[in-house]
Amino acid sequence: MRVVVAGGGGLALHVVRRLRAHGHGVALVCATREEADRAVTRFEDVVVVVGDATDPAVLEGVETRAADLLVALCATDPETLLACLLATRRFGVPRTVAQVHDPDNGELFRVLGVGSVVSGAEILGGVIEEESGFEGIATRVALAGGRVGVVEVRLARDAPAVGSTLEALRLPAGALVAAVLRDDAVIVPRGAAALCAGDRLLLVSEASVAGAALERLVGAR
Amino acid sequence: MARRRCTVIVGAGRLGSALAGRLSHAGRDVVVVDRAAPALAALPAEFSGFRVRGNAAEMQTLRRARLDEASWLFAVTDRDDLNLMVALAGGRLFGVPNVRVRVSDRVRQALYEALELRTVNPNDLAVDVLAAMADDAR
Repeated sequence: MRVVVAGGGGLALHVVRRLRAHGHGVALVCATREEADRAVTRFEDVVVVVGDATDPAVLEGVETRAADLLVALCATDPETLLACLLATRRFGVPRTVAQVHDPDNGELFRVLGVGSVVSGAEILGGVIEEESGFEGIATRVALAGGRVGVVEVRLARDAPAVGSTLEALRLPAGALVAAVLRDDAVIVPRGAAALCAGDRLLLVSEASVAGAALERLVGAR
Repeated sequence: MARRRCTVIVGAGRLGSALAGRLSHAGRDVVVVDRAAPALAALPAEFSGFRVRGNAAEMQTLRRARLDEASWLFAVTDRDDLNLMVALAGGRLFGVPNVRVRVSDRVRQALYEALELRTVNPNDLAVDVLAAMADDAR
């Protein structure tokens, strides 16, 4: 698949890395030279340009017309909306994914046919703003307008939570491991349950403490 | 819902504030939205409407401006992307019957047409006037 990613922040780099890991061809449009430089040092086989993703000429330059997907992660919601509309209406891109900063804007994006609207960044708060985010996060769901998030996270062998009990982890108030998926079993954990490498945890948390909770579970990268 | 005949102007720069003054002076019920308090404070003396301070990229701000009751919306900030979003929200979510959107960069003109938005490009208008003057003077 060919993917154009608009935005050069931490989340964009995370997305690019995931897409590359799955073998997709990626072009990245960064707003600033600094963001582009950072991306270039990280990815050898990604087309990186500096430009305004709401400028048709810039999108043309990264062959948006031939893209299967545009992921818009711009600095503001109006930029993200405009980039998506140009992609679908002008360049005929079949699918778009947009990150909205204000979850309240999601409805407008949907009314206008912007494919998938994600406000997941809201949930992870400042966490994914950071350079590389956390390893092993599989899915994110935003509830209650982004105030509550559900995250599935897999414990790598070196995750700090491995071998520890939930009790000993002392997750922040407002965060809860609702279920542990181990092999084919679903365990509703009690405080004394020990966590193993390979466990997949369903973390339910308030947006404000998601970062702190993830750090206890999988560690800061 | 019965719509008041109010007019919402988003953007209190030179264009927005002059328009607000003119319409207010003519007896229209005008609401001006801008994120900057100084811009709202500097509205012309003949403006007697409401001021709403906030980021127009947030629906909450548009709700506070009672866009759901407006019969006219002018999206005239200095940012094309913001104007576009506000205009689309006004037309598609709030059902404002008359929407005009300011455009500075005509490279996106085709997109606006595809979205059935009625645009005003101040630069083009100035060029039209100046070119006509040049023609007259020849």
